[in-house]
Amino acid sequence: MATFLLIVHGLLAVALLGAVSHQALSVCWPTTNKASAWARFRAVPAAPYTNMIILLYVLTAVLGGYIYTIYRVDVRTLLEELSIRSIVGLFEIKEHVIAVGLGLLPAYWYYLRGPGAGQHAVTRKIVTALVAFTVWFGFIVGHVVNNTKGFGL
Amino acid sequence: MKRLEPLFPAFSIAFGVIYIVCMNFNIALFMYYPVLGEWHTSRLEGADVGPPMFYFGWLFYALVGAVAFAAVTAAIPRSVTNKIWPTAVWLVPVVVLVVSAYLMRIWF
Repeated sequence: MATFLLIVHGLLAVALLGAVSHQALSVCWPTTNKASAWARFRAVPAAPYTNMIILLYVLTAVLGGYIYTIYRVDVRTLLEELSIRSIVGLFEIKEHVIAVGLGLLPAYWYYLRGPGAGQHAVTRKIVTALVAFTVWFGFIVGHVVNNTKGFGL
Repeated sequence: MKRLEPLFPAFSIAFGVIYIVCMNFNIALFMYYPVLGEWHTSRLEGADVGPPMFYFGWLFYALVGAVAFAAVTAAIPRSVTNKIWPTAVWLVPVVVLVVSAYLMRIWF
């Protein structure tokens, strides 16, 4: 069951990662040129992604929160017994980064879709980049923790 | 809902700060014992109870505290918050992220 939930968590994270990457590049590095695949990646309209990103973020975090309870007993205990402290520390940082990301979502909505949209361009860019950073960080650390054995630690 | 929307940046500013304070000083209203599958408001003794998880308790306090902070800032004139929030809303979370990484140095 834990493996199934982890796969669903990973799939949700992949969808979130794709959406937030499109949006972050569109907001921070906009273009109307669609000549190349890279340009088309950045040329998406950013605002319509916002609500779906928030939904995916919350769903991924809630499911991650449930899996976290399994990790705490079955994985972290083992990592501590094996003295693999860096992986435990990385996961600790991940939980804090995701918490900050969750707290940032109302402001993110405010500056992308709410009354703050259309003004405060710098704030919109940085807040969007921050949300994207939390997603990328969580995704990469999640994979590193899941593949600890492969890192030869 | 429209009346609450201007309070969203204040919520986000406070959430991270309250979370990191709760995390650092381990202030949690409740904790979860994954081995038992139970929520408790105080620590349990005994080897068979397993490790407690405070994460959800920190998040809860951050949520409640951020709502309270946002409600209080409703009394501040919009002309003032419009000058402060656009910078604070990203600067404060960045500082919180740096501080959280610094606090986690004990693991490395």
